[in-house]
Amino acid sequence: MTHHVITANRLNDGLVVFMGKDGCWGNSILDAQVLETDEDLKVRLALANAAEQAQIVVGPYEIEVTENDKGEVRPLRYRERIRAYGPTTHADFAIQDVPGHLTHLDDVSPVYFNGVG
Amino acid sequence: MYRYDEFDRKFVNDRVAEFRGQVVRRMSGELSEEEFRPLRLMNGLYLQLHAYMLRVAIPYGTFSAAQMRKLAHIARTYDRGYGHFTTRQNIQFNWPKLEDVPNLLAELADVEMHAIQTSGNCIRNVTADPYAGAVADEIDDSRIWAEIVRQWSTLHPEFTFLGRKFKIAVSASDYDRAVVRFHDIGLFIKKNDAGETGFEVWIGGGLGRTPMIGKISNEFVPAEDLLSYLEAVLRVYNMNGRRDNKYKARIKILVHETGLDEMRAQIDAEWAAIKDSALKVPEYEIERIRAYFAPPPFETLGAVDRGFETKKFENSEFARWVSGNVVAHKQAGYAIVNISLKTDDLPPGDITADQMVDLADLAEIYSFDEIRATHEQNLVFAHVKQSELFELWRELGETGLAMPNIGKVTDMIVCPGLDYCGLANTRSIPVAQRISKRYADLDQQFDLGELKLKISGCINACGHHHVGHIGLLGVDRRGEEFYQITLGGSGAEDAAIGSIIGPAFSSADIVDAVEELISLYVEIRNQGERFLDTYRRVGAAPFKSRLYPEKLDAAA
Ligand code: HEM
Ligand code: SF4
Repeated sequence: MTHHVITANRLNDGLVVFMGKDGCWGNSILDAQVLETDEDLKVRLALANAAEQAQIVVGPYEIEVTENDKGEVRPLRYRERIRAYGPTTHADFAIQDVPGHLTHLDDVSPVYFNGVG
Repeated sequence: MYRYDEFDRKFVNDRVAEFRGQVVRRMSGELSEEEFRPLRLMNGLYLQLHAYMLRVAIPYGTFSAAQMRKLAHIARTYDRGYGHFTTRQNIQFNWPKLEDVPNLLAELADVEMHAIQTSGNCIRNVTADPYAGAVADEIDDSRIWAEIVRQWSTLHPEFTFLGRKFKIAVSASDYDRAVVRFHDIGLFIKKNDAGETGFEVWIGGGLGRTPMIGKISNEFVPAEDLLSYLEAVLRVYNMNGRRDNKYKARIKILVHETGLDEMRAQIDAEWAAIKDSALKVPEYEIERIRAYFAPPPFETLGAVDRGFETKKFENSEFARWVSGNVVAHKQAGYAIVNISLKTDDLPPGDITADQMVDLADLAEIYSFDEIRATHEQNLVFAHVKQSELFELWRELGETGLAMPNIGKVTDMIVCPGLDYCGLANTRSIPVAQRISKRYADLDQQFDLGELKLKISGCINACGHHHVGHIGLLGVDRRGEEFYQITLGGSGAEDAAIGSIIGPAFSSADIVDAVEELISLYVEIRNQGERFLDTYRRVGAAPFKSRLYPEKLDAAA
């Protein structure tokens, strides 16, 4: 079952943010509110658009997520993973310590993102 | 080097103040993102995948140590300690905060730099040959003309809202070191039989989803008529260029759809009407600009420096760097030094703030306080004494910038790709890093010789893949990163657009595929042939069957 979380860039610093359970925006996808029904998604998108009107974020949209076996939220698409976790080329810029996010540097097993890790 | 006059200074400072007001209005909600977007783009500010990105112009690629130090300061204060050199003599910062950008721009203005016309649908930063003023094969210093074009194009009232971006490059050599033929307008400075200076004008070149080599619209536009001719081209484009579809809005599509003869006729008609207007460039104005680019005070030296020759003999690593990165200078006893930004540690084109400071110091000591940026995401010290090359090489090595790989397989042009860019299908930098690792052996790189590998993360072609001897284009195949290979392109004087060789390869397989192509080249090359020469001689078929043997079996 595909669930969603809502993401955007914060207006003042441009950084990637996710809408949390309390409706506030934070940098970590782990704290994002997971939306399980279309109804919830609609309500929350309306809230996100209001946040855009209020100069808090820019360009909010929903992304598909799944949960890994530890119950952590993970974006489904690799684009959204790079957005959530930071550039894969630079350890210092990675937002979270996500195992495998930088493993392409290992020439032998460069592909970490095909399928949900 | 060009210095701001009162007008330039006031203009740039006013622009900073204006943008400061716009940012305040954006933060307060007076401006929506929709209203603000074109304003920030006019000031070089994008919103990317992870953050804002600011693109700063380095007009015709020439800048000073003081400017480089300021860029280092900006990297430390407003970014995360890095800068990224692009393919059009710009530098990008990947992490500035919107609220800081006005201060950042004010600091740039202190050293006569700005981000104006680095984005948006206007005439972009005019680029030039990075060896200008240093190389013997040029007719004139292309920067003089790039500056004249810049002054004309900056805030040109008619051309601030074009259908699409518009890029101009200038060269004065038969060698093309600025991908001139792939610009909206490419200018080659020429002399006619009477010894007068003029321009061979190419129009309608470009990369992106419809790559085109430019076509010559005029073989010789006299120097004094350059601006009226450019104005005529821009007018025809502005009047007739398509605005219904942004992918068809570049002048290359107009030239293609109109036909060259008709385009020429329209341009000439427009030109005739404005040739004798205020757009004539008076001789004294040319001389005034020329004075800014006067050669530095070269010493009178012998053509050969004994000490330099001895060092090459004694130190093979130094000799290798010289043979890879150092080019002949027009002035006896001097040399042009290429500084590769394709090192082991950083993404292609990236440089740390510490390296920027080190290079600024070295430029002051060794190269008359002057640095150049190239379209291949490298830097150049244009005027180094041969007798000081060894010292310079040692010091470059200490800051990690003595990689001798200019023009080699690891000297790739690589776009930021999905690690930074919101438009990307795939990442580019990790593929480049894996190829660099595979070909880390310098002996092997030198054996392969000139090999231009270029990577773009989507069809916008920022990584110039169409003009790579080997080009890689990232495509999304059902949610996975794949790479399509093109072969046979060139962005140099032997300009060509590469052809797609076959189905794309997965990220896991792409480096092996590149290695197969290169191995085949090594097996079948004739003496002295580059990869591109071999490809042109034998055609695509052998490369195709090497990459897709199973297809052949199936067909047999
Ligand atoms: C990450 C931010 C970037 C974004 C969003 C971006 C976006 C684009 C887009 C949309 C185009 C298409 C132009 C067209 O066909 O009309 C383009 C073209 C181009 N970009 Fe970028 N770009 C980025 C970074 C870069 C970098 C880092 C470089 C240099 C390494 C670069 C060099 C170019 C060049 C040379 C073209 C011209 C291709 C042509 O002639 O059509 N870009 N870019
Ligand atoms: S080629 Fe595509 S992916 Fe690469 S920087 Fe340009 S727009 Fe982004």
